[in-house]
Amino acid sequence: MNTEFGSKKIFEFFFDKPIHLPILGDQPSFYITETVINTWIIMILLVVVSIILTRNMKLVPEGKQNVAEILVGLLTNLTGSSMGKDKLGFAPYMGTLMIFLVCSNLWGLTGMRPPTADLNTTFALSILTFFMIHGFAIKRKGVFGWIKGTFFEPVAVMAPLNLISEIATPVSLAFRLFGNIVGGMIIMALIYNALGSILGSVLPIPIFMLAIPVPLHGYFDIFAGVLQAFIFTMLTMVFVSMAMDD
Amino acid sequence: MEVYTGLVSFGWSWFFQVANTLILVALLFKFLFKPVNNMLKKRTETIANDLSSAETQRDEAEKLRADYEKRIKEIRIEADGILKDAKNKADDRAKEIIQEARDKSDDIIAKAQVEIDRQNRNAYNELKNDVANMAFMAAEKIIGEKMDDKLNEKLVVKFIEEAGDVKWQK
Repeated sequence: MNTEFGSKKIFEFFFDKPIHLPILGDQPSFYITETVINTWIIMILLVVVSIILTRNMKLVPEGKQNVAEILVGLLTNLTGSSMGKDKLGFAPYMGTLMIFLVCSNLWGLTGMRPPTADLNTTFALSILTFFMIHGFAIKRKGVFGWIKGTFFEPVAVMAPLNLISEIATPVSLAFRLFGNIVGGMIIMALIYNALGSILGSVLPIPIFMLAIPVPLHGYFDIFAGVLQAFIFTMLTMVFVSMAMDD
Repeated sequence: MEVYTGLVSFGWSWFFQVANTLILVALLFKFLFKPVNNMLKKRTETIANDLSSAETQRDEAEKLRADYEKRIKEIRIEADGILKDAKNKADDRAKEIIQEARDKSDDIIAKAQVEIDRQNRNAYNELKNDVANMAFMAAEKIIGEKMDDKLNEKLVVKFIEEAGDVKWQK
């Protein structure tokens, strides 16, 4: 049983001199974790499924083409209704984010580690959101408009609080997702451990693991996973469009 | 030995995940969003084209229909005119024929009347001559002698004429 809840290092190369990275500190080794490998698997799966779904597209849709069109239509409509019709250009990013998060959060069902149960993944996504919020705000309103709109609203004395709020945004986004998924993962691991240890020395097969975890998977993996994917995507959309609009 | 990162710790994964996210966005844009959106756009265009061409065709059909209706109306009017003309002509011709027949019959009757009159007059004249001769012969017998032909004949004829003209007419 995996009682170590950090991400497993799959490949690790040691260096004589530590590599210095400003935000990570000194790194004595270069490594690729389970999180990254699983993300690659998900990426390959998503790309392959996309290619299969959009192959031989016809003007009159049939079969798998309907699935692709409904999926893209749903994501585009969601983007349009939460960000406004003028920001439909964000649909591919937001749609990809949603698809990737749903797949990542449900990845725990395969028995592998969900990529979102790693702070590195959730922070990567939330930092991208952070840069999108401020990048598109500057692009839309100019540097002075952005400074005024972000920090000096409603009054100038609010600037320190606004600064904290802006920094808190990606942190809260990342930790909300990470906490939910890693929490579910830890609970499921503990439950499997517990179920396996019931009469563990008597029974040759841990039969209690058979059906009991199903409703818990339903809640922690499916319900919480889809919900958190939706929340992360919606918040990203709302933050970016708010920063652009006000 | 399996090596784990800390549960709440940053490492190389962060860079990988940023890159992975951006790469995935690009890949899904290329393989999912772009083809589907292109197809949707193409479909929208096709439907719009089809609708507008259908409308054009409908307008054309409507125009053709109106044209044909107009033409049919004209043809009907023309046909009516031709029929009326033909009827009038036939009526006229019939009247003419009747008139001709009537004229001819009148002519025939008139000619017959003339003939009858002529025959009548001939018969009358013959009868008159016969009567005059007979009266003359009878008078000769009665008197027993030959009458002076010329004088007597004149007398008889005059008599007959005076008596006869009124009586013979009936």
